[in-house]
Amino acid sequence: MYLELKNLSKRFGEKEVVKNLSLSLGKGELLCLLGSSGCGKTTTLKMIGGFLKPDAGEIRVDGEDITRLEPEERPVSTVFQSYALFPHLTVLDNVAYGLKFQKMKRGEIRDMAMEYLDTVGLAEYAGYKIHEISGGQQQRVALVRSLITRPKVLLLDEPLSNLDAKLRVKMRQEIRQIQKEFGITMVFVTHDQEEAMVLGDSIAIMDQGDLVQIGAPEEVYIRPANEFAGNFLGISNRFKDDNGKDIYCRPEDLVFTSDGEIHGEILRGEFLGFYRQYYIRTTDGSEIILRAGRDVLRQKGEKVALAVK
Amino acid sequence: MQKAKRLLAVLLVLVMACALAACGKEEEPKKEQGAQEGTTQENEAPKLEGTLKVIATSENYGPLFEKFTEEVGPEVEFISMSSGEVLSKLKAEGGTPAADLWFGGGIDAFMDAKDNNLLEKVDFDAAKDLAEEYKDSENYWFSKGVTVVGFIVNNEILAEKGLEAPKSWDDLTKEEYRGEILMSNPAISGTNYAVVNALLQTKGDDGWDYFSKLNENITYYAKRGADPSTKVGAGEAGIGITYIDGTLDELKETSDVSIIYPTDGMPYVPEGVAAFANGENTEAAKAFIEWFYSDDENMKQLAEIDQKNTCLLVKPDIEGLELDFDQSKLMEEDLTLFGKERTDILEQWNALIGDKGEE
Amino acid sequence: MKNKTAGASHSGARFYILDKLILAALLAIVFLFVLYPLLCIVKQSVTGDEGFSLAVYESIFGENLDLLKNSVFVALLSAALSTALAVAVAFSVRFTSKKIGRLLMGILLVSMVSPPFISSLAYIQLFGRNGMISKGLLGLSLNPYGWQGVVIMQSLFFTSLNALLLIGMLERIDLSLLQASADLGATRGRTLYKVVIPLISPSLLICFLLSFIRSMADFGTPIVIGGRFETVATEIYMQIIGYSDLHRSSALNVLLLIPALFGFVLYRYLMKKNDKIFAGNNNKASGTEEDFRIKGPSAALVYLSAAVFFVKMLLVYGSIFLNSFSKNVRGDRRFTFEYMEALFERNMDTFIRSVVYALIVALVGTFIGILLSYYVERRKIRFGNFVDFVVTMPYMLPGSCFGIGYILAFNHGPLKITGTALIVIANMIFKQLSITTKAVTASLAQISLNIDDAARDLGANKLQVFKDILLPNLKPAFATGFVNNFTSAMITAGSVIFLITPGQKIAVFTLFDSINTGKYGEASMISTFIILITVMINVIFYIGFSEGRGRRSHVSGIKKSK
Repeated sequence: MYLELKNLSKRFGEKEVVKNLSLSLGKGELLCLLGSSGCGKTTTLKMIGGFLKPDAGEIRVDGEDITRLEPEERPVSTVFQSYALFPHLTVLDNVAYGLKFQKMKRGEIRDMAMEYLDTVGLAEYAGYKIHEISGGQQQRVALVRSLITRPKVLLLDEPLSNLDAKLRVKMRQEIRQIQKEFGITMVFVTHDQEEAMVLGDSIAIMDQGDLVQIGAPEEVYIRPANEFAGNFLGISNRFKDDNGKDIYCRPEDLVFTSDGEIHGEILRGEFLGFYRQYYIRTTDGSEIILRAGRDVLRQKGEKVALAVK
Repeated sequence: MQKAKRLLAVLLVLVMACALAACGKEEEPKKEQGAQEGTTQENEAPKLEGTLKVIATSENYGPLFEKFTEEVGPEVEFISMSSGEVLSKLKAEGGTPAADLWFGGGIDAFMDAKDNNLLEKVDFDAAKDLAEEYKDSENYWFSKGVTVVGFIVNNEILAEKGLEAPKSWDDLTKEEYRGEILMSNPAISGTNYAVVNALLQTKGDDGWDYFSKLNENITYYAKRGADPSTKVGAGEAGIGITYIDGTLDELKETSDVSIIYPTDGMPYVPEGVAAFANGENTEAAKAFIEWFYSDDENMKQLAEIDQKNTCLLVKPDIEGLELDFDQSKLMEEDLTLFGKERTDILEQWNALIGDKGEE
Repeated sequence: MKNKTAGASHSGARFYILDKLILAALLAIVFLFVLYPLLCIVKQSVTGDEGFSLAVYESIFGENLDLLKNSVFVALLSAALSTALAVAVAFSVRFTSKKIGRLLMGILLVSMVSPPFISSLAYIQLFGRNGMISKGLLGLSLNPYGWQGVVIMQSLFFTSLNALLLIGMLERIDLSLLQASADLGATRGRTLYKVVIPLISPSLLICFLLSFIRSMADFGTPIVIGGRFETVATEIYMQIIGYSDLHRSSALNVLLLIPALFGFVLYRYLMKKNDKIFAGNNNKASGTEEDFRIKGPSAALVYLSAAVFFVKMLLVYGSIFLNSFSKNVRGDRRFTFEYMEALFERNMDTFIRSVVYALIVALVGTFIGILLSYYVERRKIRFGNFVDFVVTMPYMLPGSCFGIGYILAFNHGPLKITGTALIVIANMIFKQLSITTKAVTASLAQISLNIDDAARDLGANKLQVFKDILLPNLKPAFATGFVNNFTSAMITAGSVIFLITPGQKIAVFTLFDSINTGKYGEASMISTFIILITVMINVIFYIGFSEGRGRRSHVSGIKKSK
């Protein structure tokens, strides 16, 4: 495995933020580290980047143990949530900064930085100050600033969270494309499940310092390891059917059908474009959600019967 | 940034150059002085070398020091400091003074310094021509002149308030002058310390009573010696208790002020001259003192700079000078008490009228 | 394949040693030039005629309690007023058109240079019993002496430095934050209150603390306009100048340190709380070039307060300039060049020496200050708080005491440097060091830690991060430190009066001499001259450092491509 975390632990005072975490990632793969805020995903990323020292455990990249190395000595690079671009430097100088520490001539540095800027379409902004370019452009600068040092693993800490919805979709495609192009191994931290689904070769779900589940997106989505994982990837329903049997399913897995074994009453409905979402109180008193086609109409207060597909 | 860097570089170079030049300058005289010290100690060489470092009371003594350099040799560097500052500095230095000669300042500070072994004995022939009460009996300090104390009044303010100018020390305690009198704190000002000491000597047991009455008329005690005269000049107070010399005449030109010699006597205090013990160039300091008192022309030049002729009191046989006031009007003072009583008097004064914590 | 690991272990070790060496050297000079002289003062206070004695302390608390109350009272008022005024002034300079901002900045830089006594004298001349404004214009006969006068003067003159600190901070605030707040419907006043004030709150705290301890240590102002109002600082001055009692004055210093220490601990505590607020905050350097203007009632309040400050400053400095070129002859003001002639008859060496000393102090002092706060605030070295406190102490004491501490410390043995230029310059540097460290601290609080991480991530070691990333972003703090160091080296005399030998006279002594002999005209002329020199050099540096940020390449020497 190209990146390996073995029994990684970190506590801040009393609080154990990362608990005995182990995971691994193959070369050229993109792992999405998914979880809500405070779950330990950013702490994990910082330990890989070298900004936090783990209390226990080991980090290996390409077989080399990097656990004790300083950040500047590690073959990994981070794209920060805030981008952490150098405000006093130009776009070009930001990108070129990492090359300063490699034995290269000035001209080479410049050419290489320009080349990288060109790949993200920012060559014409080379002389701009950071505050003179847009958020999306800053994001790209942060990305190529890290990429240019040719790290073995690129770490991204919620890099898209500062962008608006439209740009976010565009940028995640770009990141995916760059990842494929450079064949680079990436760890991408996010709390956005959709992002994780679209981007990840695999997804690791974390909760309160524990790794809950790791696997391909379909696998994690369809067969959540536990209730938390299920809940986190899309909304889940949990209730008892008329026979007192535990039912656990996703909204899109439910259908209205007259011979359904589950009965309930429509609380309200929402029109969401290409589908409708109904909130239903079942006979056991639970409130569940059903997703149906936009032409499936039910009235508020209507008694309905349901089944799991 | 590039510009700023270049600027910085240029400035740095400049600074370095100047600093080096300054250091070089300082080093030079020390070496020479070390080399020649042996030769001058026993036989009196006609010309001394090295630098004489002086602490004076004013920057105006330049011409006098230049004359010394011309006639005797050593370059003179001087700085002005109050006697209180000098004493504090000497005490902190613990016997390694940064200067050689002390020129001017209330005699009580010199007495204090002598008691603390901070002064050097200077014996020379002309010392016998000096009036006895104005020099130390063991030749540790001498006087260059005398500070005489009187009043300065702002006529405009007094007229505005319909007041007569006070004529005597006793007048100052009259109720009509309440809030109009300015006096410096006697701990700060040698001049005003002389007032307190002399009046206590003159008035005997009633002395402290007098000061508590005077206190009621005084707005506040200035913490710098020149304040009473300048503030009366500026019209901020009607009456000031001040030293009297020719410099006050300049004030007369610009403001409507008069100088008053109190009818019931004028306090006075000698202004000291001494060589510091363990100075770097004590020989030059001794040479200066001897030179200064051996030629009346020097004292005449001093009289011109100080704008007063009180050196006549120190060396009565100087020809061509005349006192500006009647010598008999000086209060009778036992100067030997000035140093001895200082701590006690100031303590009592503080207890009686100290400002501590008042608003 | 990332190349940055090549040779890392070798250069890493070298860097490690260099890093530790720099830190050790820094700590060594701080302890030698700050802690050691201070300990000498403490030792002096417990040394009686026959060895160790606490006799001085037995009476000192009871006797001086009222003085201590006075000191704290005035210090609190002056600190609060000068910080509030500084906010108004800083906002006025920052949030106004560029032209007016520059003009106000100019006045502010002039008002930084307040030669001892002369400004207070000018104040009395303007507002005193026979004042040009109070009596001449308004026909009032005011008594300017008392604590009110002290508070007014201190507030006015502390405002300059505070405002300078704040302006440096405001320049780093992302204007888009303000625009965002305004877009969300907040009024301008609310924006200032809810967005800007919290962002600059570390600087506000620093302003308050510095003004508080500066007021506690200030004896010049109460001596000139305090009248009968006395403080611990004036009592220390009396003990040194009047009684030459080093034991007592030293003990009083220790007394003065108590409230200052209390203030310092409180400040540290609040700063720590602030750190947490800022931890997750990523402040970008000033955003768009669009202007943000303040409007409405809040603006009226801000501009009015600022106007009071600027008008008073203009009056005070105007009257100093007026006094240097004219004299009042029995109520009739006449133009004259005599003071100018007197000035040029004086030895110009003292002025040159002053400038040389001040430049060394400004450059060396500011650099030491930046390095020191980098290690204390950014690297969080162990006992950093203690180091910070040690560095702040000289600022808490009246200058003359710190000077005496230097004599006590350096007049014998292998450390004998009395009588050299080194002792004078070192004293000037370390007296003011805390201003630089505080300015840098405030700046550092605004630079996201992520930026350091990012640079290290790209291969820079800690010193390279400092040099490439932090230093350029500390330019406003550097400018503030430089201006303060240079200015105070030009005009303070209290701390060095005991250290200067007759051969090393500096300009401010010339000024002292004129004041002491009552020659206010000449004193004004000398002040004018000192102010002009100081402002000239300050302006050059301030503009060079705080505004020198165009599109220029900093790191790799790469020229911009456009």
